[in-house]
Amino acid sequence: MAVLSIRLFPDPVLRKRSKPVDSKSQKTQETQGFIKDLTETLYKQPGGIGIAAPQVGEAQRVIVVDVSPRDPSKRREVMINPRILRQEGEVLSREGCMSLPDYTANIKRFARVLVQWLDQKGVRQQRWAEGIEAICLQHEVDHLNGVLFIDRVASLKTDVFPRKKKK
Amino acid sequence: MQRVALTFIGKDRAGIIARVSRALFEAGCNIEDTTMTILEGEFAMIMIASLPHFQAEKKLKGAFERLKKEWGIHPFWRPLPGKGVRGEKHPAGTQTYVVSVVGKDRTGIVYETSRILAGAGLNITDLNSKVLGEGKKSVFAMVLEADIPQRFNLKKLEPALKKLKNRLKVDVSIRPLERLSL
Repeated sequence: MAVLSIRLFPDPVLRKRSKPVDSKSQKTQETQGFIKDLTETLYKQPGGIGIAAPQVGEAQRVIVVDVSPRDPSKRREVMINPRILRQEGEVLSREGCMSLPDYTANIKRFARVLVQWLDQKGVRQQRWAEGIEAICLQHEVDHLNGVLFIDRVASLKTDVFPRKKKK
Repeated sequence: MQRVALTFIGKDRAGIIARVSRALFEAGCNIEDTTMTILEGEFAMIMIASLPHFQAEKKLKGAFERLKKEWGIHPFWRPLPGKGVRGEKHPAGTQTYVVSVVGKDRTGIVYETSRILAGAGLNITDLNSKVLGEGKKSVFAMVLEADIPQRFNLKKLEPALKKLKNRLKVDVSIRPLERLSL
């Protein structure tokens, strides 16, 4: 087990589209070991609740999400090849990213997402996620597609008072 | 390397930022941190930039003087000591809270609200206010963010905020802002 170093922007791996983990390599020791390292790396980040493989330099479709420090009803999920199948609602929150430190921005996300993935044992899972978990999932799946949260900034204004339209 | 804080205020029009940044670029300066907005038609920008050498100062001040003369954009110049802090820094062990105050427009809302926070030693990190609507029906709305230490008991603010609500007839809400580290 090892804590991996976080890749920072402008590392090109953060802009790559990650490759799916094929069924052969899913259960290999190498993949399982990597997932352990990725998880350990997540827990070493202060306040960290999600991590995607490209953030440690691996362009593979693997994410680890654990929002339990913020939402105790949730538990850790290791997601291989996650796909967001459906999405609904809207929610605004202030996101920050370990790969782009010291910057936070208001991002609009879907409030609920239906996500399908393979768990660590290779079993297909599917369920709806909401709240912080839904935000986190969308942020991490974005990483697998080379998208950073700064690409999705909703508005520099807090959006509480829309600017008046000119008459 | 000298760092300066700059502000520019004047009637808004297209091209102000291009002129300011061109002057900085041609003097070899590096723009570090900027916020710009429009307040009731007034262009307002604050900026921190670093200068490569002292000759840059003269060049820049000349360019800003022309901007003032030609377009009425007033510059302000303040040299900064030391290296500065990059990025957004919230003191460890604090949680960001959003405070919203809305009510019929009248004087003293900003003062009374900020006085309560200042009295508790709480630091405001962002503030936005607007008058909505016209005349007698106009409404004042303010949203601010403050860093509140986790060990601070928010209940301590309640009596003062309640008084504020009653006296100024405003709605006050205070809620934590989710800062998600992903």
